[in-house]
Amino acid sequence: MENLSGVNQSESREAYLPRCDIYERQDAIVVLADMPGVDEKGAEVRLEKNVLELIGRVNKRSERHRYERCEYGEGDYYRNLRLSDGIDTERIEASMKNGVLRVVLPKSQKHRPRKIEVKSA
Amino acid sequence: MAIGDLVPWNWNKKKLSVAKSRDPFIAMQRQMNDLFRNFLSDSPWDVPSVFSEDSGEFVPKVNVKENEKEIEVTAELPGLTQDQINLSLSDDALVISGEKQEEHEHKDDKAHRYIERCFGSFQRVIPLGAEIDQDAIDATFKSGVLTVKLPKVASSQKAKKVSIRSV
Repeated sequence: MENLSGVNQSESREAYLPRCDIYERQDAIVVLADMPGVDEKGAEVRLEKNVLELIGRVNKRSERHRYERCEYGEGDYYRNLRLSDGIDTERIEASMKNGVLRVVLPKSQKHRPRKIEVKSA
Repeated sequence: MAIGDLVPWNWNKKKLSVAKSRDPFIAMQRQMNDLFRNFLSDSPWDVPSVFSEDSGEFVPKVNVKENEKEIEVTAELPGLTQDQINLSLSDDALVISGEKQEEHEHKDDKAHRYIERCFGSFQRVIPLGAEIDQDAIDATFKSGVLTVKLPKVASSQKAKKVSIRSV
């Protein structure tokens, strides 16, 4: 579904592949996706069977101008990420700020590093 | 001869900031350095970037549109706030500059991260083909996109007739 040129096709609609950073904290995995032009109303996060889908929709403006220089295209964003089993899917949180979608995926309790007390026997 | 002798001398050092170069040989050298680093790294997080034109530097993309009345410049600057962006106008160019900070709360998690987004200081100089009414410039920043509308000076909209003298 994804090709490596930065554009992917999903459900017969072309979309751009947003750049993502993935960080692993002790308690959660955090995904940051660059989606300039998308506000919180246009962003959608879906989870189905361990696949996290990040969707960003932009309002395309009417073309009243002529391009002198065109380095980026305006269009929707789409990316999917496969999650491991260790995510507490009920507590996933997503927020949008300045065109960056931030998704926090808390690790389920049993997958967090735990310190185990050693008792003397 | 150990495999370490085959590795480019600076593969594990922090990336030096160099001027952005469109030279294909420099881009290829960077990709070779990245290949070595990824191949010899122990961390599963060092994966070659999906984005082939990556050089690690932050170079925001810019679109320039023009019609008779104005020039419109838009720039993709996701993750920046308004006060991190500087805009200035010289006689014939618009300069967009600033610095995108690395995410603070994640600065210490170097061993457990996969990065595609770029950060650092940036500067884009956009040459303008027409005279601009400087007092009427309008710049807005929304959802990570900077939009600058530069109205043209009225007199420059009319084409001037040039007369030919006989010699």
